[in-house]
Amino acid sequence: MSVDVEKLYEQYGPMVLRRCRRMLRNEEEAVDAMHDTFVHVLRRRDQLEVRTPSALLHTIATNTCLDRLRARKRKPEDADDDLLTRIAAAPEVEERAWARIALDRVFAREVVSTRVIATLVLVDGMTWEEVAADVGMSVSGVRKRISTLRAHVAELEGAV
Amino acid sequence: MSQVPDWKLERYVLGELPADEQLRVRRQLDDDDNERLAALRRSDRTILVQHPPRVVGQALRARLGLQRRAPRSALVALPLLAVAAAALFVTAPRAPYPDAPRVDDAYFGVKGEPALVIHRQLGVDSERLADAQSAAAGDVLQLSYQAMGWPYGVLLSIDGGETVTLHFPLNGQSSALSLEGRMNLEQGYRLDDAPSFERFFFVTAPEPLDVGAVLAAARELASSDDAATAALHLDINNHQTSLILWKAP
Repeated sequence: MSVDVEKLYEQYGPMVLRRCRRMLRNEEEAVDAMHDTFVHVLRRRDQLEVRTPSALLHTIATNTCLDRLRARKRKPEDADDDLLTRIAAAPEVEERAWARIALDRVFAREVVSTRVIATLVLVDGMTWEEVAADVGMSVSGVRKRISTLRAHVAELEGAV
Repeated sequence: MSQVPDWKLERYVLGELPADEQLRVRRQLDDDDNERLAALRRSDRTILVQHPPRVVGQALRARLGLQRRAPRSALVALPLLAVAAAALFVTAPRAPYPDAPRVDDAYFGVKGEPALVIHRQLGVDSERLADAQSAAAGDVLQLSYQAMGWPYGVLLSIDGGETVTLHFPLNGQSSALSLEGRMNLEQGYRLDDAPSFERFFFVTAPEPLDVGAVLAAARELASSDDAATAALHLDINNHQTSLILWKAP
């Protein structure tokens, strides 16, 4: 797929930057994360087969920001922040066991973590169906992955 | 109370919700949502001014190792305007600095050229001016620069009346540049009625610049026949970026 970088950014950059700002609450980090998000997507531009890039960019931006939150290793500052930080810090064992899901519909070999799914559900308030559509999974698949984190998710929900 | 979540409102604005959902959201919008939509559009404009597509695109392509595609319009115009084109945008590394500081990763993540960015005020909005664009007396401009790791710089302009105007640094201050992303100069600049053109230079260097010497070079160039095309003659390691605005008759 041929991609006009400027046009892609012009159309979706503001949305991605706002997403990164909301999650990271740090302008400099948010701008970096926005750049990382586009680089991630554009590196796979030849495999890109998606008609609505906003969902893909939203998912990639979410993952990028979670990685940055995870790297901060700091204490949460408020309730929403706490939830995001705790999602970002979800145990690696769960990540290895369940978090990698093929997104063949969008990218060959692209994956999305359970942490991203948890963020979409718990922070963004997306329904199972909406998450499933965004990440290219079945609804039961989304539910199944989340259910494996039941104890952890219950703890997260308790923090809202 | 608004019920449309942020992510859905973003996609609604982009027209990327499924058709039935797009319609459902449209019917659901209340006054709060409409205010949120207006705020999103304002935010879009602000972000694209703060982080212009050309600058971000350049940074992304650099990280991806991509070349910029030549604009079709430029390819068409080139045979006719070959001489003039050389005058339009001059980036003149007169003596490339071999050990230029690596670019701060905070904004670009890659090394790039220092950038000179000019916006023209249009009421409450602004538009970014391209090189060789027309401008008129009375236009109010916002000058910005992106140092890209070069620690010192001078921003000035010369016009068709041979006048030299210093924009940065002012009041005898240091020529030290901010290295944190794009910096807007504190004061706007109103174009006067000088004829022909206003040409802006962003001179960057690895060492503190002698502002007086740069101004002297600018005066020399301003009084020459190739004021609209040539670079400043400076006997120091420096990098020059220029942008010319042609004055509307």
